[in-house]
Amino acid sequence: MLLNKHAGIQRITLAMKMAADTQKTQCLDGLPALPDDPTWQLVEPGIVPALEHDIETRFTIGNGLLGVRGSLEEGYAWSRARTFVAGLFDLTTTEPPVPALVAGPDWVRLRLLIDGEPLDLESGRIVRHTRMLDFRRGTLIRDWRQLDPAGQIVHVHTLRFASLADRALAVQLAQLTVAQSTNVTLQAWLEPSDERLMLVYMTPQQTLWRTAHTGKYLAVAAAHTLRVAERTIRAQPDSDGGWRWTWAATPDQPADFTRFVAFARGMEPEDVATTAQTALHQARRSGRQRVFTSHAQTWSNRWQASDVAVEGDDMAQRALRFAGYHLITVANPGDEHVSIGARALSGDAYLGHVFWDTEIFLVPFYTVTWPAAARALLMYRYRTLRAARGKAARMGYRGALYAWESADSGEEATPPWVRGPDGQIIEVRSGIDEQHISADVAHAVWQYWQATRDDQFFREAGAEIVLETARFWASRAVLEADGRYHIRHVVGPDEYHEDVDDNAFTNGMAQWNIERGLELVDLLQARWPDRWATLRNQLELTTDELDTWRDVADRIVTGFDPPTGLYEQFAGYFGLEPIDLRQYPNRTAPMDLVLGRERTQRSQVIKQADVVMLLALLWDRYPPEVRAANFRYYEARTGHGSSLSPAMHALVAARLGDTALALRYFHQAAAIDLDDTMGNAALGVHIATLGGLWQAAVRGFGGISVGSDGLSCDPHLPASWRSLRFAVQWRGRRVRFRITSDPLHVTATLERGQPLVVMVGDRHHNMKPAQSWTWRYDQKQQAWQEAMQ
Amino acid sequence: MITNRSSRPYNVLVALDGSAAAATAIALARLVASQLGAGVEVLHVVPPTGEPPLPDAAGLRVRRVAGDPADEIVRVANDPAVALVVLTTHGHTVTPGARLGHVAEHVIATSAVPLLLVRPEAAAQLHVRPLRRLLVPLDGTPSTARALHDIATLVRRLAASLDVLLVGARGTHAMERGSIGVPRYIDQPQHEWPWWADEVYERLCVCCAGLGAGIPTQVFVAHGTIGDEVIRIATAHQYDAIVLVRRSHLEPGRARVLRDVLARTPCPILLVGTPSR
Repeated sequence: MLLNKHAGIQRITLAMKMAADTQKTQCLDGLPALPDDPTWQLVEPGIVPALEHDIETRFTIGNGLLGVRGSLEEGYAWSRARTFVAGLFDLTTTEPPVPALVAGPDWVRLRLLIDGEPLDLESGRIVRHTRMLDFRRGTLIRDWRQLDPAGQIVHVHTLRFASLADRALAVQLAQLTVAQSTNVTLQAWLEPSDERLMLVYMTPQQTLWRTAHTGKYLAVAAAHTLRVAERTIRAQPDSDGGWRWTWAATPDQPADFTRFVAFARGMEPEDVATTAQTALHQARRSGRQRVFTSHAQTWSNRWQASDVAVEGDDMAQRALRFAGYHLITVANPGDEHVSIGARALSGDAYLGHVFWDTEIFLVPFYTVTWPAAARALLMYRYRTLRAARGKAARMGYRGALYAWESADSGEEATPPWVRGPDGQIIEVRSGIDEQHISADVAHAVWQYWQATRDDQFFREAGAEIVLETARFWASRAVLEADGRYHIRHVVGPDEYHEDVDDNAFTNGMAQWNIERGLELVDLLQARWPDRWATLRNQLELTTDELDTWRDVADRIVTGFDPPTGLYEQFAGYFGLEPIDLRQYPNRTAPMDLVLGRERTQRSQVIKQADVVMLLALLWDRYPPEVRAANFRYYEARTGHGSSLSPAMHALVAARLGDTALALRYFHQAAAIDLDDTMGNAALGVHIATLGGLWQAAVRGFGGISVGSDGLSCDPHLPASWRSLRFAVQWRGRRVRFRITSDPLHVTATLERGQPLVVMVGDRHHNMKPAQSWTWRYDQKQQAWQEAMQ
Repeated sequence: MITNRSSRPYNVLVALDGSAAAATAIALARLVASQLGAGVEVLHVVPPTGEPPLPDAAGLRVRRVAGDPADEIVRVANDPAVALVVLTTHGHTVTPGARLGHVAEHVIATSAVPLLLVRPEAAAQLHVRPLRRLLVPLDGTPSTARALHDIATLVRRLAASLDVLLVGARGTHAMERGSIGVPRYIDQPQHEWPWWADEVYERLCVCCAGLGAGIPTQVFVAHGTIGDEVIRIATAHQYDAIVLVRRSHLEPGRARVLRDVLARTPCPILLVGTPSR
């Protein structure tokens, strides 16, 4: 068996050379032709089994409820087929158990028998094999021609999507064509993927599962149609609950297969069963053409709001479309009970756990392109506020300390230990000491409200988050003999240094959080006194406590060193061993592996943007010379051992005007998922990096800032970028920006909504609806000028 | 290949030339054969220069042949019934500082049969023990991992674990698709290490080597000089043998890792893969 499999892989590898074919993939009959713009596609020609996990990740389709890896329909030992359902958590079997996403059934499985023999890639010869992800319409297409061992060429053409118009629905289409007349059997079934899903019942129309420990239900309803020459072939039930179709195939009569699969997750079995059945019924009534059209139109609308177009850098363009695609596939404005895990819905790693990644790297994208999605993500934090209060209380603090790793309930889900690369057990302290997440959540709430003026959200949910996180920091900081407040024993974003005192990022964000809490109190009193009265009573906020908040904000240690203009990353950092990272130019491993954990902790080498992250988030709080000094100092000491780091460095470098360095970091970030030489993508997309890429492009190179009085633009395009185009939403308006590099112009068009102020440089213009306005940069004057209407 | 021999007589061949390490080699061959459920055959090569003494081989079948020891070992090892050849790295004349004797070098360079190599100078310290825990350093490339396919049956019959030590070789990865390297980004170690180790196992051991289920495996990462790291991990974790994959012929200047590890190994070396130029 092993020998056969090995030989099969050998054959695939050999045949790949023949099959690698960039010929344009056609769409299935009856559906619109595919775009031929390569920047809207991801194409994978041939088959490389060793790369399959990476490819499946990159080719994941999704809609915020479902994430379906791009696995092949026949199923192979070297595949990791998964369909994830957002929020479907159960406990792991590890000790101690932690919540983890449960994979739903693999609903794309098909088996094709040609004269009784299974058709697969390991038997016969691959004539052609291509997978193509259509970013524009969120659709995965496969084009496969196989010469089977009997000498028959079979053409299998499939298409799948998770409907963005109706998130419960997933659709698979397949067209099968034979070169010679033959008997064909097609089998379709739901392949169970996770033993933690317990079967409740299975009927021909629907299957219901329940998670073993958490008692969540998953209903899956499916309907299939197979047509040959305008004739519907009757399905026969298989013993395993699947279906089988058999017919006499001829070369001129392709078979046309349609599968609708509806998913529903919930706590009540009747409700989820009804939801799945309703979605399935609607899909059948609409038919595949209308279902697809509706899906494609919804994608089109999303891209109208989200696309970032670059001229002059095809790699950057592809990376931004790839990023935008995955960012759209993982959000769901309709579900406030879920958030986005570190690897989205595209891989097992990170167990679906939610980190600060969501609020710091993703929410900024949604806030200005898809506010409803941002709102739902922030409502998830509101719904887990009770758990955050519980964590703070257990640790002896007031207010809300969010879980470093959060799943469905918001309780801390960080595994307490890990077996390291040397086989030794390493204690994991981040679930206890990495506390900046509370300020990160508050920051996202505040930024969302600034950009949207969604007062209803802010008044009813966001305000409580800001107050409770501010309260946490005020109770967490300790007034010491030096007359300053200190926050000791934390881990900042730089996780190479644990148990540090006065981490600049943590303290800086805590200070900002408390200040916003105080600002919010004034705001509530002035605008929504009833709500203020409710919150004050509910939270038992007293004047004395608010005075303490002010005192903490005024006297907390920031780490600022006036002579150098630097913020010391944490107490004692400047005295650590300096390491010249230029001495490790071709390293293939993170610096903590190169130096060893202990030496790394004794050195100035940092894992990722920490003070630099503070600059990125609170840009306007620091004078230009302080931003520049700190970026230069810490950039030279950053090992980028986290995938979060390069995009943030691209963002800050761009805003500082160092576009060459920024572009280098941008491409480094883009390669994390798109370059398959490191095996990074096999475990799922780095969704935070993808959000960071968008931020680097729009906030960094585009120089967009969202203010309380409008939008401002201070662009710094890389030399190779001829133009950059994107849209930003602000309080119900949508403004489209076009920035050209030669000459350096900014054109803003108010596409939607009421007038607003757009500022470019120190020039501002009160834009009217549907108006376009252009500014040009006068090189001689070194200043922006209004150019034309 | 071993897989083809699974239904045939399964023998461990211990090739002797009368060296001081011969007794250790025979003891090791007995143990390994016992693990495998195989017989032991002693190959006693009598060189043209005279007959060396035969160590205690009581109860074992002894095949006595005359001729050049290297040629005879390779010839006899080609017998399909031979699953494994146990061999000392030097003959009875050990040149101080030499890492391989000429007989071992010739056999390594010529034979495609798995070789279990024992250093004679370590023979005195070598505690002969069953091969229960094996360490295989890999460079992350599918081509290297595929060589393990040849010993899948052997490892199963040994009922041994096979732990992977991944040593990065970026230049090689860039040339060969499907490679996996030491991860450059470790965002959260509590998640990255277990899943990355799982990916290494599935990609290299399952997909490329076809080892599949039933062989317990851990994955370690090393950074630094390959030979140093192999020796460090093998010593620290007290492995019973190091599995090395032949990537090149033993021409001068090549197979440096093999020569380096052979010179310092704390345990026997199981050499697999077909020599290639």
